[in-house]
Amino acid sequence: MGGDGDVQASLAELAARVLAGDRLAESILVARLTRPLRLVFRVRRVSSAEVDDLVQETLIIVLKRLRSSALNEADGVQAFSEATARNVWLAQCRKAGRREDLLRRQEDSLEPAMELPPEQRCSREEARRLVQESVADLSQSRDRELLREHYLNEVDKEALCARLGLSAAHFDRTLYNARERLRKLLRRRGMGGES
Amino acid sequence: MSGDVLLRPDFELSESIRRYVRGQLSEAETASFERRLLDDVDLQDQVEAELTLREHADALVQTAVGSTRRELSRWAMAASLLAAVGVGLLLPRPWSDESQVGREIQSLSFTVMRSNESPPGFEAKAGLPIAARFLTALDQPHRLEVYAADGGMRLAIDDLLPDSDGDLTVLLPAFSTRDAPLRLVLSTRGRSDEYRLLVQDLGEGRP
Repeated sequence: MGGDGDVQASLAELAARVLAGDRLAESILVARLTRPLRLVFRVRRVSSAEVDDLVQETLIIVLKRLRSSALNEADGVQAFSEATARNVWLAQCRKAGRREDLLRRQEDSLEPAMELPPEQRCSREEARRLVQESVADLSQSRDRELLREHYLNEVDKEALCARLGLSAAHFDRTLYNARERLRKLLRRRGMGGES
Repeated sequence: MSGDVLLRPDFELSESIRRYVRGQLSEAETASFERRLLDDVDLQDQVEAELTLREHADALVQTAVGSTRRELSRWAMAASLLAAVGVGLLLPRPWSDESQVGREIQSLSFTVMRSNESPPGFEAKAGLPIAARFLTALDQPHRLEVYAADGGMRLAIDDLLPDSDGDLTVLLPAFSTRDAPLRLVLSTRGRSDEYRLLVQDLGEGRP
């Protein structure tokens, strides 16, 4: 089995093939889930050094489950993956809490974060440049201030609209446009997967 | 019939993405959103962009500084043009003393003088635009507000940036004696300075 059909296959179809022992389907499923799982952990502010470990841990659990028995619901893969990722993250939080507690008791300090490897540093610079490019054409200084205050200073929507005298619709439109421009730039640079 | 389909922006989804990345969705909403995210490449792209904006938000500051510098240079250019016109009008006349130079556009330097009683006062001539120079050591965007004597705001300019010498130059319109004394408020993050501007009738003491 293989070919174009693999690209079009739904997650449910891939899950059925994994249960039947199809190793290719496993690879496709892993490739399909890796990126969104990375996003899930990045949203939870997991450090970049730990994201890959958590994704791997999640995928191992998901694959073991799919190999052993069928999932009943149509979106069973998504539901099981989402729940697994959440549990893996919670376990990681507990582990980190225990570790910090241990270090506190030993009157020790946390070791400094490792420096990013050169390829990731370049990627970060590129992402920063694209962020700048995505908002460079904004003619209204108020819109630039809106984005700066929201993303950098984390001022919430309601407070920011009240302060700048903007409607919620204007706020939504400005953020939507900035994100869309950045999305296109990321895609064009082939950075859809990582930043 | 064209095969292109124009999609209307989905602001509702956009708002969900924003709230998801900020962690403002409920537990149930988050679970539902992530299930969709796991199998929707387009949504993954949008979340990726939103996350990139959050993770590299410091880059937005550089952009803001760059554009305010561009705005300031536009103001400086406008001031130069007006000054050139002013100088052109003055050319046939002999420049007897320094006060004559600023006949068509007056130049005023506002310096901060700390006083508990009242803001420092400066004098301008009615009917002439002012190239106002403020001395400030803070290399960050400033806002200038001008209030008339009745308390009404006459002018507000945002995102003014000082030059490399720490001077912030801005072209102000001509004011009338009716508005005087005016109150100028120059503010930036964590600091605000006030100046009082008297306006003298051009007819008085004119040669």
